[in-house]
Amino acid sequence: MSAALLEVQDLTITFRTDAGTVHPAKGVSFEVAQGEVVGLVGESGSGKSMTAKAVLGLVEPARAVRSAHIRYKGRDLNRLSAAELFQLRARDLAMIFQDPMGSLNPLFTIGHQLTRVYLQHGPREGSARERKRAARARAVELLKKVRIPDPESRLGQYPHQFSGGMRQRVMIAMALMCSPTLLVADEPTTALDVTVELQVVELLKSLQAELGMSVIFISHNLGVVARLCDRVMVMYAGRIVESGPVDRVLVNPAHPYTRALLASMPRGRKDEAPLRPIQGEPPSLARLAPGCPFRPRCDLAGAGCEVEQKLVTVEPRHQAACHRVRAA
Amino acid sequence: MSTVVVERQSVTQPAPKASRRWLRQLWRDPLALISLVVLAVVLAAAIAPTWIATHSHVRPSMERLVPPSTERLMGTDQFGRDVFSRAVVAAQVSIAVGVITVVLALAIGVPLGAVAGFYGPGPIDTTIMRIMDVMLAFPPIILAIAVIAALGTESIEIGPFEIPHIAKLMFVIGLLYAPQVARVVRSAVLVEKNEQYVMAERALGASRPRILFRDVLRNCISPISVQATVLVANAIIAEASLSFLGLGIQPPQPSWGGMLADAKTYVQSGEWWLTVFPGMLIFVTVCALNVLGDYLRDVLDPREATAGAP
Amino acid sequence: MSERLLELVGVSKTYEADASLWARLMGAGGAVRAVSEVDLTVTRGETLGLVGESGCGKSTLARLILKLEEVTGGDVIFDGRNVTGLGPQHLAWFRSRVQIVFQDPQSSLNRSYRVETILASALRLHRGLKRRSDLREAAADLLRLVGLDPAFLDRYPHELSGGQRQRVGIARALSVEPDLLVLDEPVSALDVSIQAQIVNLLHDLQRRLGLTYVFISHDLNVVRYLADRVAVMYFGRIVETGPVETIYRRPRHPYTRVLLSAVALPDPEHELPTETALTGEVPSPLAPPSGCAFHPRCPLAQERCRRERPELREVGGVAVACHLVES
Repeated sequence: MSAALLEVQDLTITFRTDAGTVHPAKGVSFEVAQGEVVGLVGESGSGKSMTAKAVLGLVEPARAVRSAHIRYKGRDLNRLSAAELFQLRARDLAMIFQDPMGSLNPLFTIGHQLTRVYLQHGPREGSARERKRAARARAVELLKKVRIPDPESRLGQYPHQFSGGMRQRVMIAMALMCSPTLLVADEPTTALDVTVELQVVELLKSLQAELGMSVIFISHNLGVVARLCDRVMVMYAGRIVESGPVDRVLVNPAHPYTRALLASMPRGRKDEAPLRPIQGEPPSLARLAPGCPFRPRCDLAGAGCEVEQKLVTVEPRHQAACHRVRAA
Repeated sequence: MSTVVVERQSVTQPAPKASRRWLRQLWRDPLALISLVVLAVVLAAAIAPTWIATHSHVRPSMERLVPPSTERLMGTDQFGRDVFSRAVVAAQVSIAVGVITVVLALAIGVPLGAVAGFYGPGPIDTTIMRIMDVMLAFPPIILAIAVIAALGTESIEIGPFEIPHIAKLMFVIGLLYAPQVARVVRSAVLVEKNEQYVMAERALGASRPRILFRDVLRNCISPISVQATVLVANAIIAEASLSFLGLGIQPPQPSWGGMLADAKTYVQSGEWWLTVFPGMLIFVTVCALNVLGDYLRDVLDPREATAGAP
Repeated sequence: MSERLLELVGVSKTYEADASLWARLMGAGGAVRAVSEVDLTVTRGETLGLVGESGCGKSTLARLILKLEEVTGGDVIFDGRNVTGLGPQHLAWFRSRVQIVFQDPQSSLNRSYRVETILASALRLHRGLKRRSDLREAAADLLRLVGLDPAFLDRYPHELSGGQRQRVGIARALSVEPDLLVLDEPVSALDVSIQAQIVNLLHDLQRRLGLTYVFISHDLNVVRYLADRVAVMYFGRIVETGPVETIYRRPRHPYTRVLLSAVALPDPEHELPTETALTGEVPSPLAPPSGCAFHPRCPLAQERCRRERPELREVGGVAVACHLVES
């Protein structure tokens, strides 16, 4: 795989709340290679969504985000001017969200919303009329790509005339209008029915293969991640606790949390394969004990766990943040 | 048979006190704090005017049109009556009219709106709300003027009861505000009745009226209190307007609107204290009530309490 | 006592799409069939899994079983007694025997009341407890039953986590000591690690209290784990039903096959299923397809599927509604 497209080093997000200071992400470092599909999994409150938004500069207020470096194509985002950053985000980066209805403006046609993105940030050459025609052609092309039948007439319709799965396809088309090099997909299939979810995942997979973009796919659904992703990063309490190729992490999980998560998913009958739930509740970020954040729920916790462990390499390209990794 | 682990979940930290949250919120919102102080002062005046008033509010004196001083805090009027003492006593009337009319409006509007929202859509909802719409179509002040002009400003006798004019006033304003309450309650109930706990209660066999009045309405307290606070302010303005027009509180009983009406001939002759002080009192009280309404909206919803991690 | 605790015989539910006078005058509106001619039997002590996607009618069916809505056709028979037209005097009996747990533990608990008040309301209605101390003691017992510390009695719902709220929801349903519990997506809104806790709790309660479950879910893995028998719904009808293992080992209806492949977990021992993704989405109930409701999305659809609606028929121990399944 070629050099890293995106490099995040030591990303920390800090919020002050009534309950105290919380870090939705703490010391998060990762890379995304050109053309790679990375899954970011974790339970609610694990910081997966916040991490991805911080990379795109979408966390408000901006001062909550503190990170040593975010490099994109080797350029340090901290050093870019506001205008350059805006350009970069508009053209190279794109994001799709969980709720496609909330992300589309109900008052404008799909065609208007698709072409507007392109007119603002797409190529600048040609007269206004030519550019409009180009934008329309691009919109039709992309609607075709996301397999919406009869795209020309669909352009004139409003979001409510589309079903949930269709809207999510439109959102994907919109994200792809300016040919981004990195697509961040934040639980794009969670609100959809399983059969529709499968369609959208298959669609994303084929689009990614065709266009060669990198994807950060945020999900709590390990099944979907396994279908789509090359590599997976597991987050817990704002930290990446395990990272590695999907087939390795899901087959041979190294971190006790990943292992417990897999063991808590039903995969048979109750009398064949009893569930072993993770005890307790996901931690409140405001009341995190020092040391390994998973310690209170961990079966293997013991001496040494009062000190937090950084990611250590388990096998090539596979890391986990746990003292017990080698022993286990 | 497999062994099933059901571990006991225990309480980790003590339940936070709701009152502390109210106070903390209040401390963060200085405008609400000031409003609360203002209202406390006005309320104190309304409850015990004799403690606060420095002079008699009715007895004339020879000191006519005296400007404000340490002795006469707000000066005196054309009959030599103490403006401060009159304003303090008038606060009682204004607060009483404001509160009682709104209690009346709630008594009529809440059940109507609740029933319309809960049992709608259907003929019950349509009938109730169309009547409310008709009442809302009239500007309340104009309608109040018309009604009071028809009923007169004297006390009237119905059978063995003598109804004082102020009671008529309260009744008319209260009746006119009921549709506003009903509308707010109906829309709150419409949202609330789709919550799953309503279904759960029905599955447990609770009757519909019981669910409506015990469970659903309880969760509508927040919008109702906000609306009620704002309506108290509106009612105070309505009473002041009617009194200003001579249809409200009758002299010599002081009222803020009546004091303004009496003073209107002195606006251009330099006796500013006659108009400024009653006017200010109306303005400040009404503003404070509106700010309080906003504060209640923020603080009343228990779900807002979990302002924890994002 | 009947072995068949619950029987649905040809149960249907039709809604008027737009019953306003204007719509009727204009000839607009029309009936929407949410549930069509459903036959189901639930035996005492078993768990029946009811699976399907949103809009397939499974939640409507739950409300019909609970008599929260009235059927427009067919009969609901509970413990040998037809409860379709049950009068108010017998309704209390029914309410104390059938209960429901909802999907969203946030919305299913009244946010204004402490846990104690939420539980006491049902206890007062059905167990005739009056004294405050008795109510509190009974409520504490309910919390212990679902693995919560009685100290939670003094909490408000918003002070609990999602899993804890769902436990309170289960405790409330158990307060009347029911025989049948309808679980409407009870774990779908919870985090994965918490789902397992609740699933285990439900399993444990069933064993200890001899409960019968109707477990509604779109998560086929959870259904497989808990259920003895499963019924797959599509567009208001049951398209396949039978013992859970038979169906999971060999799904016969094309829709069941796609559903199963869509939810396959990452599994080291098995290849990911290769069933292709469906095209299209669930049809609009205002414009139901002719013949088999699944034919517009079915990869195997034939001319006959467009014309003729398949009936459920017995094939190898299960019942399937598909023309293409060989006997």
